Amino acid sequence: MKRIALFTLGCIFFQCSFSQNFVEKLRYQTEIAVGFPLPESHGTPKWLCQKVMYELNPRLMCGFGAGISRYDKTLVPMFADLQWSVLRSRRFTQFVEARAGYSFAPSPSASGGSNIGLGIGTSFRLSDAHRIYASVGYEYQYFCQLKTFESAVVRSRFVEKIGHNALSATVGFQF
Amino acid sequence: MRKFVMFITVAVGLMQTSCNKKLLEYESDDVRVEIAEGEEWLHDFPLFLGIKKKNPPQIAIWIEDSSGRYVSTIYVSQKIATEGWLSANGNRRKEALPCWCHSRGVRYDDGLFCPTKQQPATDALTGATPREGFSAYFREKTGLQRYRVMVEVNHSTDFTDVYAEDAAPSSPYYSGGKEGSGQPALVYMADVDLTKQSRSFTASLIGHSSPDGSDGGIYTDMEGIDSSLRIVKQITIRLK
Repeated sequence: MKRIALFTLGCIFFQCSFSQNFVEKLRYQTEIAVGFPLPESHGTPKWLCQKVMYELNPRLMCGFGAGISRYDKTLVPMFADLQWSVLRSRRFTQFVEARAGYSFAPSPSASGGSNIGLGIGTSFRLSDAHRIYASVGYEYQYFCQLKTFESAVVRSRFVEKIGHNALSATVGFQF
Repeated sequence: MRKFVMFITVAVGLMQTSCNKKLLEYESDDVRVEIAEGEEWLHDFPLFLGIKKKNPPQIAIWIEDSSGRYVSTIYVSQKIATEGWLSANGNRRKEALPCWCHSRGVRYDDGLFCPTKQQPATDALTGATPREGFSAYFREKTGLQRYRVMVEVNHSTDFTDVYAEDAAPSSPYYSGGKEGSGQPALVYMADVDLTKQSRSFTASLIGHSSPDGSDGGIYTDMEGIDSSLRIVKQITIRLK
C-alpha cells in the first residue's frame, strides 16, 4: 500500500513538473501579413494567423498554427512552423522561419491546397514574456477555384488551378 | 494550459469547415470541351540569364454559328484576356491568338483586337491555363442546333528555322520578333449538330492563324510548323 501511494505521488509530481515545464516553454504568436504577388500571380493576399510554438532550446522553436488567408477566395491555412534565432536572445533578435501546411477552403466553389513559407525577421523584446516581431519572406499557396461566366448567350464554367507566389511582409506579437 | 486547449479546439474546428472537394458537376444540357495535352503542352519560355520557365499554351475556346459568325467565348487564357504578358517589353502580342481576337471583333484604342490591361476581356470566362489538359463546360442558351466549337492554341517563342526569331517584318514568316510567337497559333474546329444522335465530336485541325497577327484569317499552308502540332493531343466535345 505504501509503495502504491509513493508511486502515485511520484507520478503526480512528475506530471506536474513536466506540465509546468511544458507550459513554460510554450509561446503564442499572433501575426498579420500582406503579400506582394510575383509575376503571373495576381491579387494581394492577406493572412491573419495564430501560432503556438514550443521552445526546444533557447534558439529553436517549433509549433503549429492556423488562421485565415484571403486570395481570390478565403482559405483556412493550417501549418507546422519552425523558427530559429540566428543569435542568442537579446533585445533585438534575428530569426529565420520556415513553415509548411495545407489550406482548407470553406467556400463551396474553391478547394484548398498546400502552402509553404520562408522568412527572415527581427523580434524586439518588450518584456520577458512579450515580443513584437517583423519579417519578410516568400509564400506559396496552391488552390483551385470554380470560375463561372454567364451572359444572355452562354454559361461557361472551368476549374482554375492556381499556384500563387508572393513576397510577404509580416508583423506579429508573441506572448 | 487553458490557452493551449482553446487553441487546439479552434484549430480542429476550422479544419472541419472544409475539405478537398469536387468543384464542378457535369449537369444536363452541359457541353464539355475536353482538351488532352500533347507532348509540347509545356514550352520553355526564356526569362533572363538563360533561365527558362515551362509555360502552358495560350488557349481560346469560342463558338460560332453554322455560318461562321461569332457567338460567344467559352474560355480564354488570362494572359491574353488581361494583357498580362511576362517579359513582353511592351509587345501587345497580337500574334498570340489572332483568330479569336478578330472573331470576337472588339477593336481597342490602338487599332488592335487584343484586350488591354485597362480594358480586359470581361465578356468571357478567363483563367490561368492549367499545366495539363483540362475541360471547360458550357451551355448555349439561344437554342442553336448546329454550331462550331473553335479552339485556338499557341506558344510564345517556339521558333523554327522557317518561323525564325530574326525574320524580317516584311517576311510572311515574321511572328512578332524576339518576344513573338514563333510558330503561329493553330486553329481546331468541331461541327456540333444537336439534331444527330452523336454525343461526341472530335475537333480537327483546320489551319493556322496569321503569323504576325495582322488578320483573323485561317491559313492551310503548314510549312515550318512542327512542335506546335503536338501542343494538343486531342480535342473532344461531349454532350451530356
